Amino acid sequence: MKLNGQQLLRATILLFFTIFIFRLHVTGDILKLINPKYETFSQIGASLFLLLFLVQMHRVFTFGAKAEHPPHDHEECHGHHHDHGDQPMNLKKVVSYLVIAFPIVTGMLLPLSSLDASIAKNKGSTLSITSQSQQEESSRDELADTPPPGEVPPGTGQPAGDDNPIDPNIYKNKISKTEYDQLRADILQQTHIEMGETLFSTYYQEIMSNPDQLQGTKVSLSGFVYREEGFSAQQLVIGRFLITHCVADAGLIGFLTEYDQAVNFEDNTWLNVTGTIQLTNYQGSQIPIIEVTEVETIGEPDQPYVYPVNIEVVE
Amino acid sequence: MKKSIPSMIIDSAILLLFMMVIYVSGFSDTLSFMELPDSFYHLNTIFLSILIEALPFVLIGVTIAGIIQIFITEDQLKKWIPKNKYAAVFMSCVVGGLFPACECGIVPIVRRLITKGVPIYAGIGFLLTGPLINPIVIFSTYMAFGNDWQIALLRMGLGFLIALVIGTIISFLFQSNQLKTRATTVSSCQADADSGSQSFLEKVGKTLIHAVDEFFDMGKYLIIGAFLASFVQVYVSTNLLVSIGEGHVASLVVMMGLAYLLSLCSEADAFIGASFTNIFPQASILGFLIYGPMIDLKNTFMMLSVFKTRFVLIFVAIVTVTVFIMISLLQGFM
Repeated sequence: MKLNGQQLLRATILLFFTIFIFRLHVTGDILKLINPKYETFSQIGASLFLLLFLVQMHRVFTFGAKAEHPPHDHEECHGHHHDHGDQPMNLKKVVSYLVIAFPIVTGMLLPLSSLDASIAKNKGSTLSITSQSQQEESSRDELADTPPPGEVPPGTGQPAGDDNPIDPNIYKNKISKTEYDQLRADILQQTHIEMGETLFSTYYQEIMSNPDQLQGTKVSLSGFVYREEGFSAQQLVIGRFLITHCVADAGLIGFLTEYDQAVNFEDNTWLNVTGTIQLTNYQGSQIPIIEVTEVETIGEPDQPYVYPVNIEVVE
Repeated sequence: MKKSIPSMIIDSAILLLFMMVIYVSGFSDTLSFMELPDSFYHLNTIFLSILIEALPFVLIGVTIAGIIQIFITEDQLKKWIPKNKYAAVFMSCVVGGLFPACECGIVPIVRRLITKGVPIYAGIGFLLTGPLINPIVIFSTYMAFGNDWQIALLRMGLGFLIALVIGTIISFLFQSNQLKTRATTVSSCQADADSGSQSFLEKVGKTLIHAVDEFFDMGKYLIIGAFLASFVQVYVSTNLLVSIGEGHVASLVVMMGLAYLLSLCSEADAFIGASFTNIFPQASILGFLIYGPMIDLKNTFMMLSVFKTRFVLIFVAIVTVTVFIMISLLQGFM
């Protein structure tokens, strides 16, 4: 029997990847990295690692006569060039194993952070997502089938049922197409929009696309404080990161907010605010602004991120 | 393997790994005292998130590559691919469009197809349309742009056209397979798929062994690519790039540059692209959406693990120029 060190190293690395990913799932840290929608998929990935590890273990030991010829099934075909871990170690290979082990080391030793205002500053351009309103206007009317704004003045319309009619699990975020359309139609008629977490992005899009129809509507949301250059002392953004896949594609979605005591809140402070939607002119474009009436400082929520809703197209 | 200094390095590396696991399981919570700048933690988090997100796709990709290696023979592939160059490019683009892959998973598959004798231009067609055109990408684009079909359809249609053009250009420039090794024939590998004597289970085992090798080949490039992409996200300000991008040409350059540097998954980039709709003209956004899935920083590194450096550089240049010209032409009509 002969121990093949390099194959053992490969097996160890595979095992560590398995442990690392499963550990993220067990501790819940995985939610700091990816949209929970992809949790199952990531577990499949970890299981594949485990499977590959088990297969790899067969190569670690070679027995008897075979030991002379390592189990290299296509010795003769060198046109096919990749390394099977049978060639002796050299500096280049040490470096590549170090590179592969690198994420395991940093992943297990360093705590994961939540993205904050400094990242938002780098990503920039959060207040400018308004252009959808124009191109959407036509489809919106037939889709929503709401009475024209003239008949039901915003803010005084009948509240359509509960303020928060659908509350699917934030971690599932699934609703059907009909529910979704209904929901979007309802938003325009609510007197008090509580953004919550599940539908944060849906509400956000609606308010951004129809600021004029929603003018005067009361809105409550929680998010962290973020400022862009050129803000006045009363201005800040209350926003959250929207994660589509993983935190690498995070985008800050938030509202420009006006509050007398805004200076008291530093960047990254988590706030629960209530206010009314108004229109303002920001760098040449009309965007909604929230005139704050109530503010409450809160701690960072367990789940700081929000996710897009998954609309089930097949009903 | 001979017992020598290298094997001592291995042993000590393994020892180090085991020490690490003991350390980690014992003290992992007390490590947060380490004084590193916040940005480094963000860098690490974004880096790991890209990896964790990409790894399942890569693993599935290397497993499919293993299956192709063991179960599909060169002759079978030859029968499927049209003799005519243009027909082959067209077919590969269509197959890529039907195949729901992402840019991380597709590189090992393409490499395996090419070693099996698929011509380089057909492999490239598949590589380009695989991540760009598939139901998930179409739908997420539709959603991100306020339930509007225009951008989603333009992305698919124009993307397909651009992939055809690039595939055709490649077919004129390159005849050989452009894989990294000196050898260009792989006929000896026939043994892998032909040996009918092997039991199914044996074949599955070999498939997985292939997957392991492929993972170690490609893994390091994925990791370097992911690290660089997260570095850009943390330390390079988007605002800076955006401030350069006044006017049609400059804005297209900026959006394509962003698509390259950010290395987002094609299924997620639509939402990021949509956030620029107010700053940049639609054509530039389209450039972002089409260029990103075809080539980006992370992907370039993965391709370097497979293809000759010269080919990768020329390929990136061709893709960049073609996308730029096609989008600029479109801009004339918009």
